[in-house]
Amino acid sequence: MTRTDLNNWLLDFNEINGIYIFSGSEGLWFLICLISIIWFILAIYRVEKNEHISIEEELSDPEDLKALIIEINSEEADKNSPT
Amino acid sequence: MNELILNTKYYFLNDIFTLVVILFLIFLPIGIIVRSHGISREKFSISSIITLSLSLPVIIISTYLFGWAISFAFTNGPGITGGFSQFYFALPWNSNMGPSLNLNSDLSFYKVTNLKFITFIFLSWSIVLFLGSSLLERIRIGAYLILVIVLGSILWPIAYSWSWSNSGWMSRVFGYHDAFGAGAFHTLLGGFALGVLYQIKSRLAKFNNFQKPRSFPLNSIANSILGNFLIFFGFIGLSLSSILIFYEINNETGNYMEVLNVFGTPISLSGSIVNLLLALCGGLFISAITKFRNPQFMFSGGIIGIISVSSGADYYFPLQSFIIGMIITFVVLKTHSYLEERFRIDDITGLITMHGFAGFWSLIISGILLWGYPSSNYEGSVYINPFGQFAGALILFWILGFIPGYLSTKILKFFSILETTSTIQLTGEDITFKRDNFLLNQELIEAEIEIISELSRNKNDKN
Repeated sequence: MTRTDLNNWLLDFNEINGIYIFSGSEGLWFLICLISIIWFILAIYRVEKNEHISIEEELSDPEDLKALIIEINSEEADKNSPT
Repeated sequence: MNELILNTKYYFLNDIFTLVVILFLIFLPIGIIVRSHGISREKFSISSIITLSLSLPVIIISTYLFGWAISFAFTNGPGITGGFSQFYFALPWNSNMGPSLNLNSDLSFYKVTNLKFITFIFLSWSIVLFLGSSLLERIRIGAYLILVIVLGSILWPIAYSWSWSNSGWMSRVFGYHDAFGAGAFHTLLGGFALGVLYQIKSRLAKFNNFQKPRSFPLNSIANSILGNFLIFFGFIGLSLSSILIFYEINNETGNYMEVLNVFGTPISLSGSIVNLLLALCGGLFISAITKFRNPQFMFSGGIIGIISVSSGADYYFPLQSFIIGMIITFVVLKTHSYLEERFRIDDITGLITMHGFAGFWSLIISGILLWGYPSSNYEGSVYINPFGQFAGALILFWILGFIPGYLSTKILKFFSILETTSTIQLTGEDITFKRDNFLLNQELIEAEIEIISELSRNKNDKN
């Protein structure tokens, strides 16, 4: 609810364009965002690679891997079992 | 003399309509993710959702940075019917891309609002989710995100501007017509998926010693069926997003409110939706019979049916749509099995055939049936003809889809950053969560046992 006159303009409406802060520096934000998207993809690669390396190190012995696969598949088979 | 006007008094209603479109479009990504969760094996079920969901931030920022601008800039090729089109207002550093009070005449002409940008993001996200759902269980997240940018923010916006706008060069030169995205969305997606899947290895143990494909157990049958139905709703959003509404046509006889297709020609919205529903029905009939008790593909006919009439649903009669939906679904489902066996392509969700081939056939059939209809209201546009539709389908499937998909995957493969190792494919990526959960549970159990011991000690002390 208003208490005073709303039609009391500080600026000429036609002169107003962007109403966000730091108008004029958009090119700089563009560059930062472009760099950040590249950083994100490289970071995801690195994080995923580290995770995979740690799994492979834990399962470097083929017998361990075999035992795990049997365990996983038997769990899945139990889940899908009709009884 | 007809005069087409978008009256400023309808801007608000237009925005409300766009919000409704966004509401329907949300079903598309949700449906794809739910279906992927259902289809992927239990040991990949959570990591599949994570991989697909990570495409959201990437597609938002890349669409903002260049995808949105490309969708305006390339309508003339450039170099085919002219230079770059007007696109300064879609550049990422332009004040119109943020909070702005500037309503300049260009924006009014194109009816560009930030809501349209959000709609475009949902479409882009959906196309890359469809792609991701077919690559799961062997692609690395980083590789998928690079393909997300290539397809979702470069190729799809180019296809959009070439073929899915009234000033796109394909309708002006070929008489190309595609009302609801059979070409720009589905044919492109299928072509790109073929390029990627041709390079990427199939999942381990997918083919037996006789090179016959094996079916893998589904993680959740209910989710794979539910996902398909959510995608049906999403396709209604896709269709609604491709129309222009609240336009007025003024001529000597009066003033009419009209709905226009993307090419600017008046259509009947309800009639078009009925066409899509009947095609869905026809497709479901066929897939339910040919894939009976196959939860993954039994309801896929609905998707194929809708795609099969998408290019001409604005001018078909509903019963024709029903028959077209049935025929194309039958052909597409047969082709999927052939492609899998003949070329050993492990296409988990059947993208190449269900989207690519269905979209391709949709364009060809509409070219024959709608021969002589206006392709666009743009001055000098050629009338719809089978040769134009065929040329458009070839360009979208092979030039914009297959070749870039093949090359980008080849580059990723060359640097050995495309696929996960055999060990990870055998153990499943969910093993990390399972291991962490196991350790956390162990720690919790030990802590709880300690608390119980302390409680019993306190009780003994009191006694």
